[in-house]
Amino acid sequence: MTCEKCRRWVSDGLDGRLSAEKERALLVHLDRCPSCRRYANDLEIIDARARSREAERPPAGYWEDLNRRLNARLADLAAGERNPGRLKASGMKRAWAGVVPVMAVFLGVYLFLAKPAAQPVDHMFSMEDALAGIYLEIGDDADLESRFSQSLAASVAEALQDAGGEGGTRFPEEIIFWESLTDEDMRLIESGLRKGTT
Amino acid sequence: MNVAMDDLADDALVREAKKGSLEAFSALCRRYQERVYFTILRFTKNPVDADDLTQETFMSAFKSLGQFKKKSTFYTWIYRIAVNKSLNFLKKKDRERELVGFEDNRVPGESSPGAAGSPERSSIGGETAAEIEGAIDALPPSFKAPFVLVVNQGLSHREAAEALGCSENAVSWRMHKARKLLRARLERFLNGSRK
Repeated sequence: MTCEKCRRWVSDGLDGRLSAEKERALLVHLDRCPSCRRYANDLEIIDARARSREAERPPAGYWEDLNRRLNARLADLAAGERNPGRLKASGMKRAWAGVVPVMAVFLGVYLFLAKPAAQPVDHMFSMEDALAGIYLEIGDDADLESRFSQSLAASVAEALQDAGGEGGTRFPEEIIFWESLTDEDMRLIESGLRKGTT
Repeated sequence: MNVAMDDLADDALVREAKKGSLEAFSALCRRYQERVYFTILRFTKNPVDADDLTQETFMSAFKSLGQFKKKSTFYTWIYRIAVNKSLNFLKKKDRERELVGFEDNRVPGESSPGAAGSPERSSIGGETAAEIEGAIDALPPSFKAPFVLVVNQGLSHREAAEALGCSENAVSWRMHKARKLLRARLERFLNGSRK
């Protein structure tokens, strides 16, 4: 056995991690090697001292007080979690605050591009007029259109993020989610569905 | 104090706490708060910081209880959170020190003559304890963490490995290295004891 191996085993031995066989081999080496014997003695002293070092004890009643403070904080936290309706509602409110304008833009794009012909004016689609200026600006500018789409996708992503964990599973049910997907996203989903059905 | 809860095993308390029982989680806090506090205190050396971090440890555990999958025991899991919080705290503190140019890299043997724990006042039976304390504090965090858990908290290598998120062999190797470093730092005091 080398001295290096012996020293590793001395350390393991102090932590009660040596098999009987290794312990015997270690003792044989220590018996023959004064340097390793001294090393082992030093480590025993260090360990014993380190174990006996006393940390400063907190004052009387400290543990009860700590537990009381912890309980108060946990109760506050749990109260928030037990009222998920309120949290979810405020989360959803924030999400929809972001989604509604985006949806409005989508509707505007749809109405402006897909249905350019004169349509009966419905109060529901009155936003078409409000957004008409934007689409007039976009015109045939593909770059502007692309940047507009990107910003739209970013808004949807932001709204998804705001909706939090619960919102994540709800959004695929929303048309706005699907509409914000790029062609590549759609191809991936499509191929995933095909794999799932075959 | 809820005696019935205090009688339950960790697994049962975790199960109840996952169902939303605050009493169950509070019983876990009572059971481990002392050990968590003293582990953190070994790192922070400051009771106020140890108090804060102990609370943060249990708050984090409560928030992420759903992620606790019983791959480890509750107490090694809570130790893991406590050690991570302590190490992050020390890193943050180091960064702050760097910002203000604060230097306190004193190592054993470099202390001012006559100061508490200096060689003039030390002997293996007396104030070497302060030197050992200083030497342990001066260990790099990756060696100090297993040393504190194994030597001071009495964890086995397996438990320390779970708490630190590494293998048992890594703990064994780090313990070996930590002890080697401690011996090298403390050699002059140990030599004194042999004379």
